[in-house]
Amino acid sequence: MDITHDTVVLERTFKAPPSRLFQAYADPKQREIWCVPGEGIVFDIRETEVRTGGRETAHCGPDGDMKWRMDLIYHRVEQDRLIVFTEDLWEHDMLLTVALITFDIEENGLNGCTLTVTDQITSFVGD
Amino acid sequence: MANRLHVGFQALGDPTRLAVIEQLLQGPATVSDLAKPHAMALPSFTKHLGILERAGLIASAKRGRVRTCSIDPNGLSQIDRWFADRRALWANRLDRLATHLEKGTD
Repeated sequence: MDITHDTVVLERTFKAPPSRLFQAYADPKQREIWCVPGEGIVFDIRETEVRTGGRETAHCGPDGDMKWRMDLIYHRVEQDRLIVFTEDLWEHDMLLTVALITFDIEENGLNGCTLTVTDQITSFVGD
Repeated sequence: MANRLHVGFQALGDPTRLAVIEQLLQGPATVSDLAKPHAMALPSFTKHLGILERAGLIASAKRGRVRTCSIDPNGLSQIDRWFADRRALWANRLDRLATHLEKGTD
């Protein structure tokens, strides 16, 4: 089996208060807009509970071929501050990747915030 | 492709081999030049070079009695791509998030 590991950290500052950023994540209709993995890909969040202990199921793929499923568990959620979840990515019955993802939100001046995304991923397909 | 990538990561997961890659990124070098900084017998060292070569990360050519090694650009770019893709995914998402937040639709 081909297993690879990676950790990606990105920091970004937004002209929006932490509450606005948190809502853009927690509201599935908003997240479906900005979280699509690429052009021509549909992202459909079917069930979600963005709270500590909550779960989520989302499907995505090219329109008409929603071949990927993401199963999430929210391990720790603090409103307007922190979202920590694990994400299993499946293609039909094959597990492709498991990731531990952290959204760390900090207030930054008036009406601003800084988001640090840390994505620690293990891939079983190498690619 | 996946197999090749796996072999590539395995090949880089060793300090001696990583040092060889770093040295070769400066330009091609002979086996004896590459071996100099490493305190090990030449046969053990050439085993490391063999692993890197089979992983497609370096190439070598023999002229007379001198073997010269160089980076195989295709091998490294595959590994770069894997790291870059995950970073690109999040960078694109955060770009779209910034656009979405600027629209100010609550």
